Amino acid sequence: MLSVIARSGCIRPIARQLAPSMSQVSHMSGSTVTHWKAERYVSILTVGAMMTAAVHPTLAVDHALAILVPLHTHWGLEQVFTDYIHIKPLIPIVGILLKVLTGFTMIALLYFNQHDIGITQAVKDVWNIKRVNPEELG
Amino acid sequence: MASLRPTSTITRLANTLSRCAATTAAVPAPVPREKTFQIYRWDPEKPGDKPHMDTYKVNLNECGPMVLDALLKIKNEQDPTLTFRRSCREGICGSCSMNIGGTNTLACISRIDPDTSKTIKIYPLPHMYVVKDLVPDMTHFFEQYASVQPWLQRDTEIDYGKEQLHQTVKEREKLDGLYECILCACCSTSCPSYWWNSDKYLGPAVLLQSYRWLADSRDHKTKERLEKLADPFSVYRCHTIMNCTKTCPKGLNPGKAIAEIKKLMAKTL
Amino acid sequence: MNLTRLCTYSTRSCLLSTRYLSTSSEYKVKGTAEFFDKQKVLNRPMSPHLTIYKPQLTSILSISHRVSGVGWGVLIYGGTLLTLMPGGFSHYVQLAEQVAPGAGIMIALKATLLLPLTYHTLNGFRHLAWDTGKGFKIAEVYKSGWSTVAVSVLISLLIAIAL
Repeated sequence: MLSVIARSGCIRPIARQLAPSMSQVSHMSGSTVTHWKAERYVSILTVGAMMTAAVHPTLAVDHALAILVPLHTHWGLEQVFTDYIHIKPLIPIVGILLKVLTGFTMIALLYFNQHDIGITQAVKDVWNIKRVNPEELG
Repeated sequence: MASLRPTSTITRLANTLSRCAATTAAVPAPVPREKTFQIYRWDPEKPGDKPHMDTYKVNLNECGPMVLDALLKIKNEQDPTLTFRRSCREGICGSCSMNIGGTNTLACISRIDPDTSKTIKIYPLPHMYVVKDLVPDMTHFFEQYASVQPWLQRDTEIDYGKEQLHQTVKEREKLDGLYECILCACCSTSCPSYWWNSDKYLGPAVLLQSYRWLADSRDHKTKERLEKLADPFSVYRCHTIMNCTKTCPKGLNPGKAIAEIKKLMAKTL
Repeated sequence: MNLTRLCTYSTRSCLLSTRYLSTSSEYKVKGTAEFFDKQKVLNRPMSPHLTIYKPQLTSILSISHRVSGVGWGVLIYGGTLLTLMPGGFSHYVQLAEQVAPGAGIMIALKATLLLPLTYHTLNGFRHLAWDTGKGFKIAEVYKSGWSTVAVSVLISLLIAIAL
């Protein structure tokens, strides 16, 4: 059937059919794929950072966690919102809100690393919470 | 009954007839095996009608083994208004795709569970606009298919009939598991991402076909095809849920095809 | 479709499509806006989905990956706020120590808290394997799926008890 259509001249030269429209010739084509690759690399780095923190905690590892964990979380939450939020005016608002939250979290954690006990020690302290009666605190 | 004496024709005939009589008299009529079907119904021409379930009982002793046989029996004998798509009755045309027992499949190759204590629930393909009863509107699905330009595209115009477009055996093997798709839409309508984003996400069926052309060594427009897919929705709403491969009635693997598209995009773009 | 519905659809779609003309250009697939307009005009019901689709390992593990990720994301963003509260982080740890339940319940709590994290991480490896194209046969999906669940539970219990 295809050959009949072809011979009748209905199929136009191929090159024209795949010419991208204006909306497609944008930074989009490169950046979406780059974003996908970045998501995977950051996931791997995050696991690596967590495992490193478990065996050899340092300030550098804490700072790495302070950047990677919120970044991974941010991109994950972004995918969730893209999937479920369809109300057009809401989309840029949620996008900005999320960026603010993530940025805030990163900065707060970096500060915590620098001026307080740091992420790894904080996790250890929470993990080691044991019942202590108020009287024993003296 | 062994007999040492050779029997005459008349004796043999008399023996046969008496045996028949004995058999018919001794065995009772088979007990009807009643299977209950609950089927989604909605009639656009009935004012105020809301989607509801109708219950039908079918005697499996007088019905073919597949769900489509039961649907046709119900339509022929009980309710002629029951509406569904069907054609080949052998799992190759893709018309009778619907949700049977919670999963999407083709009614004509879906065996009826003979356990009569269990009810079969039949729904249209999930998250589709219903035309009537089990018939969904497939227009957008087919538009999405057309949008991936599912035909061979080469750098030079094809002079049909002049020569073969050669392909090695290995190159041809890459199309196995892709060309067999019958566009029944079972996979796409099993995908939660397609449920929530069918306006912009192409879905497993269309993406499998898109990969069919990306993987074809005779096609020259790989880069252009990939560029057309490079946005956050067309491909990247796939989160490898894998309902698609699980449900494909033809045993194909759309999940893997989509992963291969993502790999190609990462390598090429 | 009968004549009345055809007339209604045609008139309303003329009015609607002008309103949606601006948005049809945002769709890569032609006819998208018109398709969804038409469905609204015809008042067609949507076939059921979440309520009727059979829960399977594929979909259950996938949504669990998302829920565990979002859950821990909320924990991390919320926990960070705690570091900025007056008194400092260690102050709140001390407060928690005063109301902490006994050892047994602590282990159960730790395991419960750890399970989403270990599951998300292990399933993350499964996702990364998929991204390389491996493990897509349904038998492999099910094997790797059940293994992920089993190992997550085991590791969570082990860490909660041993550490």
